[in-house]
Amino acid sequence: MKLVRPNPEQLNTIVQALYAVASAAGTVAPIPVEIRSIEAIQRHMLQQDAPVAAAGGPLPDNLESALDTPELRRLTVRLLMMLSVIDRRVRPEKVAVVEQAARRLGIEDRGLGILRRAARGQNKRIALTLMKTFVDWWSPSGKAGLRDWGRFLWWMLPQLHGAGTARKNREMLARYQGLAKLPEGTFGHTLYRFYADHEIALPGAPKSVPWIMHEVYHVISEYGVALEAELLLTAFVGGTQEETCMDQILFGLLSYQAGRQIVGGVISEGLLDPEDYFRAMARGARIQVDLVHGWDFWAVAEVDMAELRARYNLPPISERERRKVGGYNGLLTGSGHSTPADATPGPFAPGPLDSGPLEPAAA
Amino acid sequence: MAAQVQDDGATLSTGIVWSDAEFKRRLLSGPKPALRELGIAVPDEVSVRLVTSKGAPGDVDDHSLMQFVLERGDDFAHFFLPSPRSPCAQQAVYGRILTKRLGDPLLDRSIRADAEAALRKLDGTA
Repeated sequence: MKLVRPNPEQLNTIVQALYAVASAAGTVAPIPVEIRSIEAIQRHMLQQDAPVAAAGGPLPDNLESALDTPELRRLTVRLLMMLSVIDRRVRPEKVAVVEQAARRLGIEDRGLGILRRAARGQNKRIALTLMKTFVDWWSPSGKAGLRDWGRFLWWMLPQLHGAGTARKNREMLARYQGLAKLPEGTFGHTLYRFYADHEIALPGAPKSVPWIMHEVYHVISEYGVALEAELLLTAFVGGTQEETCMDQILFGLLSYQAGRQIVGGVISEGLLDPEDYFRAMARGARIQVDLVHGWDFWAVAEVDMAELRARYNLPPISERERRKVGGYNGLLTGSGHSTPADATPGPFAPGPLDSGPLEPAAA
Repeated sequence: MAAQVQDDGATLSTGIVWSDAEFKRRLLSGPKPALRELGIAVPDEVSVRLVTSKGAPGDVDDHSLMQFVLERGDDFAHFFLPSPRSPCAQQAVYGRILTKRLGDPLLDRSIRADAEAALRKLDGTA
């Protein structure tokens, strides 16, 4: 996703458009989380030190004339899409404003299809769309063909696996287990520890999957596995991507902010902290590596994490994030991460299972 | 087994949700009275909605993660009730696994602390 810095007229136009969505063209009052989101969008995605305000109402008349570049138009439509689901519902009247803006700006984005389905309650259709994106990524050609779908379904049905797959799985597992022998702080060792600490089966082990990208993103971004952190991770991953960014972002907002069960796994409602969320997205947008196309984990497995993050131009975790996100154990800690393991920022002091009383963290 | 306040006056442990199918059924069908039996008193004017999901396909418990969304007008707050038998659900709530033991008081205290914080937030006293 490309960050932009609009001029004052463009900024006012974008903000008015955001308020148009939040107010469903002036028919409802924007709620506090939407207003805070519009401010956070300006700070982090539009790189403004002093956010401006607007009032609910229709889309601005100068939408087309003020937003005169394709980058600005695309980013605006994407921001409008995000805002339309932040109220925990997916109200058709808000989605209609987004669609109107997209039409006027001549933007078609795959996220619009997901949003339309969300407004109609078609969660299974959304799941199929997301699955196709995944199989596209997994395909050596970058476009899912019958063979790729076959491979994908094969992995989803381990009861069909025979001796040949079992041998390949043993080899794959051994390779990932070998990461434990790398020095602490290296990417490979940090990834191995992430799997171990969170009791996730390594690729090749029973009940595992043979891809690692979700876990790789956790380790690179330093966002943990608490639901709030998973929401930040979807923002971060979306920020790192271009064509498929809204798949990630809308999946996260629908699953963890709107409580929609799109695919299996945990869901929740109302977890969005706008400041943390859009900062995570901007962090991802600043990364200078394409982790989707042609990236090879094994080529960087032995690189130190701090060096790797610097190489990728990843902004560090801010002190605010360390206090706030670390406060709910939302950050990964220890070797390979910028937060020490003994920082104990959250209310639950790390330690062995069942140990110690539950005491609030010191202020 | 009917869930009631225990003989010594103490409220039931939240662990009963995972050990008493009848109590769990009542919690799912009408959260507010069942929460009251757990000592989590939600005021009459506050509505409770339940968002449930399953942490991992292999979880023993269906609905291994329950989120109680408390709403009063436009204000809302929430707290979670994860299964002690679902490492995934606990990690989703706490960022780590608190326990694997059914009836562990650590998990019970954590859930109660979150519920009280949610009610305070709704009261504007958090």
